[in-house]
Amino acid sequence: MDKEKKIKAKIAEIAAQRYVRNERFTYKSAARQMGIETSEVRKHFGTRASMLSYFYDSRIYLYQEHAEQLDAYNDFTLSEKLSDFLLFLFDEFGQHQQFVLKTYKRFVIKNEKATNFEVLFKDQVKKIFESDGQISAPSSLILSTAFYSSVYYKFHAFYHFWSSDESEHQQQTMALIDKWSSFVEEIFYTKIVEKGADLGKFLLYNSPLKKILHK
Amino acid sequence: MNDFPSTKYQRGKIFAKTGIEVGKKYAWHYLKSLANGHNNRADLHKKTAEEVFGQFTKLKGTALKIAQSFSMDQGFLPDEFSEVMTQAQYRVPPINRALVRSIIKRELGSQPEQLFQEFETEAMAAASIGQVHKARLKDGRQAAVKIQYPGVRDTISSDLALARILMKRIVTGGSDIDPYLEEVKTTLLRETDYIAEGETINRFHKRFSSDDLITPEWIPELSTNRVLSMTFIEGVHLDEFLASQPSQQQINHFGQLFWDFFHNQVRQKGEVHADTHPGNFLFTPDGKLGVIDYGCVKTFPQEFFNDYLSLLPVHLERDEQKIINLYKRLDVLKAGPESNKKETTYLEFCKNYGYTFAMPYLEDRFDFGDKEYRELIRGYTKNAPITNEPRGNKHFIYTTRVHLGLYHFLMRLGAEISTKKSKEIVFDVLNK
Ligand SMILES: Nc1ncnc2c1ncn2[C@@H]1O[C@H](COP(=O)(O)OP(=O)(O)O)[C@@H](O)[C@H]1O
Repeated sequence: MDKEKKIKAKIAEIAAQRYVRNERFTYKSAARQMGIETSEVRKHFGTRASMLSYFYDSRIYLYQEHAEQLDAYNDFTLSEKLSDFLLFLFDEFGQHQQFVLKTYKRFVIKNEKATNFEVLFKDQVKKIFESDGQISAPSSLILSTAFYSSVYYKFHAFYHFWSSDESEHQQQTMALIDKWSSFVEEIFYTKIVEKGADLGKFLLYNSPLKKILHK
Repeated sequence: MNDFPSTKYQRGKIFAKTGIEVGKKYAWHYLKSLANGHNNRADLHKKTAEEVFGQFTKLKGTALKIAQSFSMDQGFLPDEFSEVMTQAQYRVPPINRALVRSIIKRELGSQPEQLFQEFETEAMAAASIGQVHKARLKDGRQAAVKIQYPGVRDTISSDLALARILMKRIVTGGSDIDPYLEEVKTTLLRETDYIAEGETINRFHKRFSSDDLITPEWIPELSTNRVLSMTFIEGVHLDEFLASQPSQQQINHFGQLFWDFFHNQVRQKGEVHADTHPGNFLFTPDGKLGVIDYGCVKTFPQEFFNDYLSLLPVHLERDEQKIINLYKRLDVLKAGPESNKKETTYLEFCKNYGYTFAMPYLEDRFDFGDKEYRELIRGYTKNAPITNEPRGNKHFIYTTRVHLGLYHFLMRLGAEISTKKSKEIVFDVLNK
């Protein structure tokens, strides 16, 4: 993460905190809390909405940084990489829970065109799948833009699960992500072209959530 | 495909399916035995057990624990059934490296690298509802860090409700299994509470840590309800110890430590380590017995405890009337043997089994390596008349588990031990 991204991420976090306290927070208050000039905040963000939505984008940047620092990351299996990514995001969401609960729909789901978060998210998922050396040949055939979109829709589903998960530390969400990731790995690593794996891929691909969420 | 059915509904279906399968098998068996008149129940049980076991393992944590609890209680389930069930303890799916990190981060607040000097990301051993990692603390001590699979606790109640349906199909005669399940539930819930386990570790450390016995120390600052850090105990398990071809003297040494540990617990009348599974004991290089796993400890009600201990003198005396009275008090006999044939069978079984259990105390020394003795004990567990009807005070689940575990361990070890002092301990406790 370069210096600018770091500053912007920090501003976005502060904005997220202020937003929870007062939806009409000012540039000035955010700048003061950050210890910088209002003009600098303006230089990075033209609108308050862009400041808030950057909160989401920057979670992906933070994740990328986390992955780079993790020695073992390169020998993680597909399921480990997937769950690492998703768990990281929900960890971050958990630390700004009220903000996320208030704004996820607005900044992440309800958008006519793809948000930055969506683009970054899919890129990351793509990277995870494409860098994996163990995916079987028949399985790699389904890797496509549409497939990455379906994973993205799945993420919304996890979000819904998470937002109503009342277990301590959202353990049920952790368990769900773990099970889902293992399932995906099983489907992708299998070299056997059998009906079970085939159905698994089909289901993974044709997530019905797309329609529901885009209504 | 997915090895863990996550919704209650899915789990329900699995149990329902098993129930039906079990029903089918018994029906088939019944018809077959009518047709050709001979009975190969053993064979049937085995098949049924394997099937139910397969379904059980899909439910991970909870079910495994139920399976284990029941499997130790010989006489409650058919022998073949428990045989397959005991395998359960070796079948826990792993928590992957990413999830391990995430759990530690959430539970302890930082990444493992920040909390420990070293942390091995590959688990060193599987635990029943999680796994154990080796680590080095910042102060240089070696540690074992037990990590629990997320959400286990929440699923216990619903799993048990489903298990009840399943067990009801297997257990015949309309017996009431609810007190047993309730007992198992309490124990299971306690086993998910790693803070409570940590406190237990401390209590046992105070009570038993000595020149002969080593128990872990709890590290509370690196522990939560779902992460348990404790000092590491260097040592090997029973099988590995035996594979190293120890001398008879070494064998007897460890056997004695093991035997004495249990009688010291009796002497102190306090909590008892109730999970006498070989995985929970370590043979250390410096000749100490390591005792780990404090997830299942029991404090028995005084009255039950005394009655249970009284089985020893009463069997040694071989006074039939006293034996009958005692087994009645322990709810093993429902009535006197004069009342019906079933009770006579039970009494005969208990009398002989109980006596066999008392045998090690007859003389000052006893050789658990004696093959004949092993055959004798095995014969009883195989031919128990109590095939699938639970009997006895519910605390029996744990006393038999401890007791059988103790004997099985010593028989596998082949140790010859001195029982003189231990007999005195039991008599002392009873006379107080
Ligand atoms: N303090 C310890 N020192 C060394 N090994 C340990 C320690 N605690 C646990 N282990 C290892 O981990 C395994 C599982 O731990 P255990 O406490 O028995 O788990 P559970 O009771 O939850 O199944 C043990 O059999 C042992 O090999």
